[in-house]
Amino acid sequence: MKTLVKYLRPGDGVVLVLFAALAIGSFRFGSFVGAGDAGLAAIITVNHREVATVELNKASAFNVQGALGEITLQIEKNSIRVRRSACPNQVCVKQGAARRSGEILVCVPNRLVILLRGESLPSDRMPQESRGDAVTH
Amino acid sequence: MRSPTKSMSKPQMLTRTALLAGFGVVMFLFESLLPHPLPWAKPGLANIATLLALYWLGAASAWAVTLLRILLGSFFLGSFLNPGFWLSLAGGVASVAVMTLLKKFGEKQFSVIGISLAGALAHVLAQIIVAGFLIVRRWEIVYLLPVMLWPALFAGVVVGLAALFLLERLSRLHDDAKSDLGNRL
Repeated sequence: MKTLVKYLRPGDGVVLVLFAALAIGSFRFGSFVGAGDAGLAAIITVNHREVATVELNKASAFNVQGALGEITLQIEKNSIRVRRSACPNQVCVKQGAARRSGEILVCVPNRLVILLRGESLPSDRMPQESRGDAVTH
Repeated sequence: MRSPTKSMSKPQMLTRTALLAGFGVVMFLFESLLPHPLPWAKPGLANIATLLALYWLGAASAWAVTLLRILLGSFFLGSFLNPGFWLSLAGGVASVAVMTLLKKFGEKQFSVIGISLAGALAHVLAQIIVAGFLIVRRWEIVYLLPVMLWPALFAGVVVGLAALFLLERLSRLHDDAKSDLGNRL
């Protein structure tokens, strides 16, 4: 411990404080800790194209076609999660459920991005209408 | 300030850079086998190799070690030119750029740990920016910042400590060319 202190420099503290401030401050953007309102709808995009918009108050499970293969999404208890995905690292599956507006689920290899919205959906954007060909229930 | 390369012959530089690049690839592959309890976070152990190269062999070696590790690592994992490869490249380039600049202009102000932390921060910010343009294309990407910054903060300290420990050993062990590595830590 004594030898470690010998090596430390003032700049280390500056970097640490800056880093920590950014890390703490970033929670203010993040609904990760529940700062956002409850999510009401999820916009599902694959390869930047919106393939479906679903409301979170109706439990369901459905597949979308990702860049690598099928992705199974599950909606329950006002949350959405990736149940299965044909991707190597399964980061999206391990991300768990998203339930707050502003939260996003991402599967990089499958080009999948799911965004949660707090406001209710206009009725003309129900799931089946929005390019239902990409969604298989 | 003495250049770290002065006391080393060219073949020595090359073999040591290659050695560290190999070490970086091995750490990178080892890390990919570890369980990832936090989906967004990896400890970044391969950055130990970059830090060793930066202090022991100089900035050019640090660049070589990092770029070779990203390239070779992606060949081994089969992720070459995948979206993940670009994220990894962006993070790697940003972190080496920041670390070499800090080392060059602030050697007296920063220790290995500070430089490692700055590298970790640059890595996260570059990845968020590239992911924002390449993958998500929505400003909501900022919601990922806390989940990426917090693990990176701890990883940056741990990697810096590991590099400091190894460099300190190296400076005592390695006296072939009257290396002044110990004085530069």
